[in-house]
Amino acid sequence: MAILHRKHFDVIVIGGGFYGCEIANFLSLQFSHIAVIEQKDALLSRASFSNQARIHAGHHYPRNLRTATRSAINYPHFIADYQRAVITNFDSYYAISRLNSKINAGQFRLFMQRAGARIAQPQPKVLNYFDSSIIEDVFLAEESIFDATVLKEIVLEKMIQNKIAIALQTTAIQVSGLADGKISVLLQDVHGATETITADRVYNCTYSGINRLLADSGLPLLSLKYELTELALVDVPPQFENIGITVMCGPFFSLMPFPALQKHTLSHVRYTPHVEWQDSPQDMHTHVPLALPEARSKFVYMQRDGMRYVPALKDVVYSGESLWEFKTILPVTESDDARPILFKKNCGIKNFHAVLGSKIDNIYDILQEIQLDITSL
Amino acid sequence: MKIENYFISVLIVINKYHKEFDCYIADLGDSLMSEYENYEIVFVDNTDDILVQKEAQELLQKILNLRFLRLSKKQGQNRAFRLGLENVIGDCVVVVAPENDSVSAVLEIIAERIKGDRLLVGVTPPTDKSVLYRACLALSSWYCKKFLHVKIPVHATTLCAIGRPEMLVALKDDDVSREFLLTAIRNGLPYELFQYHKQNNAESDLKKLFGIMYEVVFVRSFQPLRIARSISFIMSAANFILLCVWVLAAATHSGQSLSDVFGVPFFLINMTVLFLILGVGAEYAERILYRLTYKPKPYIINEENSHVLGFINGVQRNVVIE
Ligand SMILES: Cc1cc2nc3c(=O)[nH]c(=O)nc-3n(C[C@H](O)[C@H](O)[C@H](O)COP(=O)(O)OP(=O)(O)OC[C@H]3O[C@@H](n4cnc5c(N)ncnc54)[C@H](O)[C@@H]3O)c2cc1C
Repeated sequence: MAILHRKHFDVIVIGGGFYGCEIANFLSLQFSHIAVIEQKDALLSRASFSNQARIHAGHHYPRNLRTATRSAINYPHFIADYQRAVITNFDSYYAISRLNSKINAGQFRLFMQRAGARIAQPQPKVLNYFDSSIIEDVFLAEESIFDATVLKEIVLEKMIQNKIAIALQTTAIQVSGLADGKISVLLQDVHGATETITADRVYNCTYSGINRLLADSGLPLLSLKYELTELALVDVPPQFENIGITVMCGPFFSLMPFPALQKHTLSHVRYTPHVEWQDSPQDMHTHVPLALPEARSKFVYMQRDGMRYVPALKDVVYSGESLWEFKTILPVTESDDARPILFKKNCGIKNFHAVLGSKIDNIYDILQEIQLDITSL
Repeated sequence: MKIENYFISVLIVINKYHKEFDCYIADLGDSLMSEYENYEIVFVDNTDDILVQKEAQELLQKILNLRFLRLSKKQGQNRAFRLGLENVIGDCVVVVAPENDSVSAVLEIIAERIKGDRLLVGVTPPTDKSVLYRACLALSSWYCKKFLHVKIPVHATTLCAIGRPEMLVALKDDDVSREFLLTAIRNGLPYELFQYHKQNNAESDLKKLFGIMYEVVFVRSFQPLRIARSISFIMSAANFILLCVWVLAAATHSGQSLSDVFGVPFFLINMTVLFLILGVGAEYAERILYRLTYKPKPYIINEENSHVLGFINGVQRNVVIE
């Protein structure tokens, strides 16, 4: 049985994460036949699910004005467009550490003013959560979180409305250029059956899988850095139920609600990445394993370090499970913590583009670029 | 079975880089990994040496749970220790000096700490210190024992295991106790004195405590040695001038005895100074010899010297406050 009902599409999007799905939805305004290929059995089940669920408004990037400003600009749009998935009865606190921080409270305040990210003074009782000897100041940030399950529903509803063909449990294993300018994509289903479909343009939105697809297609790799990351799923004491805490700016922790599983995630800049490595364009071999490996949780480490700043973190209980993902970033952004989206046009084949997603709420930036790209033709 | 419910932080501050250091860290990492589920090795680089940074990057790739903290430029030891103590996350922090403390001694002190909440101080052999230093130390220990009623561990190193609560109290407290803790750790005298401070909060006690610390630090930081050296240097210089005068005078007053020319007291003084020069010379010769022959190596505890671990078995405490 054929995986998809057609053999040729105007656009094929490989990767059914938030970026792939929303790019498909956006392109459906201009193209009639669009397919999304996803190797898992559900959309938005990898990085678009396994993240901190933070809708960034700029506060998280006090060392990069561009990322902070873009987040501040995109924030209200995202809140309006995905209203159903957005959780508002939640307070996000940003605390500035006195130790090892790359910024101080004064700089944070000033930077947020410049980036247009809103902050306020927290209530005095909140200040008691923090150890004032190592926390310089605490700010209440206007920031929200999203429920990844509801976000998936919203995206899926739009895709159905836009008549986008979706192939789940289907892996794109190779892409090649055809003589007539079309692009062929070799698909494989879970049983190992293969099928080739073609398109006028193809978007590789596979995040950590971008280089694997390029390598398997014999195309030059992108320079990407990976981290095997862990977000520990935890249960919190009552006072932390509707709040998020982020200590800035350096090797610190975040405790964020994770509405999709009714838990919180605990992450730590030092302990969340278990290993990190890099692919380079010179090397034709990508180093991302196909499946997420099992690793021993670093929850204890995250909790212990966190307790230095917020002593009540000792009452946080590990659920025994963590969200694991291969975080994929551009190596050049490491020093300033920027999180730009990568849009690599014509990856060895004309009209075969790669998009490395960044923050969920920055989706608008890439849609704008894609629009420019299409209209420039 | 690995121990899970106790988190260990091993803190290593290095002020000077030794080649053996890498193997030591690797060995320590392997040993900790085989016995403990939750641990970290925090090493603070206070060397200003670019080589250490390079080596550290390699070690970080190889060794699990290793953390590398670097000061922007070489600082005093207290600052380096403070940085380390402020960053560790364990139930207890074990302060280790790789050139003195063998991996087995580190493991032993951890095991002891887990058994009971005692703080433990390690020991090191006394041979790496000069005669004058040892004499001063002995004198100071005698003084502390006799007049301050404190027994100072003559051969303590910085190897010690401090509980997190004690460490936190000290780090949070006013500068006095913070400095005190850091100085105490640096000088290998952490626990009992610290406990003493906690139990007896009265100001007079603190002053007394400071008195003790002052004595200890004074001796430990070579203060008398420095003073002795400065004096002997000045005297040597004076003596040299006098000798020149003496030779000149002897040459111009040939045929007369020296005491005739200069008088007996002058001659005696001069001889005393000469002996002093010889004494200080010998002292320096010993130190130079020691520097040439000394190679830092882990202190292996075996049957012959196992008595130094007496305190670990609870037989002997290193510091007793009476
Ligand atoms: C630890 C962590 C925390 C984060 N926290 C936040 C946060 O708080 N807020 C925020 O906005 N962003 C956060 N991010 C970033 C954000 O999650 C990602 O940037 C975003 O989800 C990327 O979306 P995507 O669609 O590109 O990737 P994904 O959601 O990973 O989608 C890629 C899809 O491609 C599929 N795929 C891969 N290879 C193939 C193939 N060959 N064929 C078919 N399908 C394939 C995968 O199965 C996957 O579903 C975080 C990321 C991580 C890792």
